[in-house]
Amino acid sequence: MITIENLHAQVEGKKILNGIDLDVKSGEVHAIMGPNGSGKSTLSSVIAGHHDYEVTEGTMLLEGEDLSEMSAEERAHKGIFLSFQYPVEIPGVSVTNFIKTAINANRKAHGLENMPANEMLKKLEKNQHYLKLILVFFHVL
Amino acid sequence: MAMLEPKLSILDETDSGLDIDALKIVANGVNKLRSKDNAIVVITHYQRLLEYIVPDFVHVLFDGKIVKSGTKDLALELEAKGYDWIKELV
Repeated sequence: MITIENLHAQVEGKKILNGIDLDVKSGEVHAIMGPNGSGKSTLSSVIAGHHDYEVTEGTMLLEGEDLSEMSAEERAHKGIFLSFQYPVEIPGVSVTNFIKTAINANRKAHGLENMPANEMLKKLEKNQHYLKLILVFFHVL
Repeated sequence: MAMLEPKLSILDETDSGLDIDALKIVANGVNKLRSKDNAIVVITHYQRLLEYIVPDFVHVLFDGKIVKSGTKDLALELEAKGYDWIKELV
């Protein structure tokens, strides 16, 4: 799924990642642990394509495709998802609206029409019920 | 994650600030979304989350490098010995 080789990255001139090698295959779950300041969150930001982080060396391939020149949006459209440690609420934007916008942006990038409202609602309800997520809806999505 | 159906999900300390019940709900949700077609990277401080989301591999990051990789048993070893043990390996 994703192959990372010898990844070095810095933020504001400060080197944080010093040669990460990681190979995650389809169907696998990998856990990354480490003390504060070891680079865990930087690694996730770099994979997702945060513009403040500069990759100085190494490669990241998603299903064989080089991520280095892709923006965060393009990476998201290719199927990379990052759940933030501290999600920021945007006043006036409901969770439903937020998800709807994200899904439709994704569909647009793949040349699809917006998801019809009734289909969206059905999908939301199905997932809420399936995941029993109502209580922590904000946190997961 | 359930709505967007990503190929690669990175969960950055999803367990921070959650009480035990919420942690179980989130872990249960993540487990339901595991499939042969997607991959998940879980970033966490604590072994506790990994009791619920059981990983295939565990990597320890130190000073911007993966210094040790193993199975879920590595997380238990870390819990028991702390990160100082890892620092000694470097």
